[in-house]
Amino acid sequence: MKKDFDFDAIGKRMPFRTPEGFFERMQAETLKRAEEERRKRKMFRIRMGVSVFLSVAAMICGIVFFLKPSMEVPSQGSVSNGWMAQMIDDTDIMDLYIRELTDEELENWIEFSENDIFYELTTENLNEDED
Amino acid sequence: MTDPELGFRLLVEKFQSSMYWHIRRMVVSHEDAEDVLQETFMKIFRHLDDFRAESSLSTWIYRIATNESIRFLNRRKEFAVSTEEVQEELMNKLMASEYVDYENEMEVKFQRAILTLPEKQRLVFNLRYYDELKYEEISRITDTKVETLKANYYFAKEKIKEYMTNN
Repeated sequence: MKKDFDFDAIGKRMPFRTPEGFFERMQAETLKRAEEERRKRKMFRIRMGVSVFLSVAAMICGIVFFLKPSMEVPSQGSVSNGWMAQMIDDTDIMDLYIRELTDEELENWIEFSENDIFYELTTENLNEDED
Repeated sequence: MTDPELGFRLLVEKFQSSMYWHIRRMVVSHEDAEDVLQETFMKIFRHLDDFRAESSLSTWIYRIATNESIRFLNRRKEFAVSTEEVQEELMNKLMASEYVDYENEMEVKFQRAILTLPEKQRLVFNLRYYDELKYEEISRITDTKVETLKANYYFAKEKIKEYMTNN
């Protein structure tokens, strides 16, 4: 008569192995991937923030332009004070926004601008035109 | 280092090993287990804010790792590969891997016996036998009734016993 298999004879032992230093490497890779994803998320939020800001700014400009038909359109050599003030205000808001960014956010923003596909295309086109 | 970063690091440190072995027992190959483990942790990272303390953190993590392992195995079935063929592939991986110690014949044979089980039984057996989880915990991980799990575990053990005795 065959003897029943005894689970205790094997216990929890397994024949599986891992490469040397696997868990240390794995942990480093996982944390690196997580960090990259966090950075991408942050970039996306900045990009969205900038997009929303520019859209709102464009909308305000549009409203101001259409609701004030009497406003003088600046001609060369004589820029109206109102128009100039609006331009200065926009620049101030942008300066204020940039000043509030941390070094890391600013670095990400610059990196994003440098990698912007539309920026590259424009630059390439300009170079081609020059050629 | 901010709190969420530190929290995630501690979580990886604490669960990395147990999750790797849980996944490895399901997908067999070391390389596949590595990929599935990475995906598991990325999923945990993305959804850490969604974690509600309705179940324990460990149960939640086991659930994600289990789902990722099953998703990995099901991916093969999407390519019109049958369940039996997937089982055969796993058996082949077990028998031709750089990271399996073939000198331990009994241990290899035991793993072969486990691989003859249907996927659900194999999962239940692994969680109960190796990880020593309570049926209630396994129930939360697999969305299965405790009674069904007990039956699954009993049949799994019987089949393994039979395989080990007759082969």
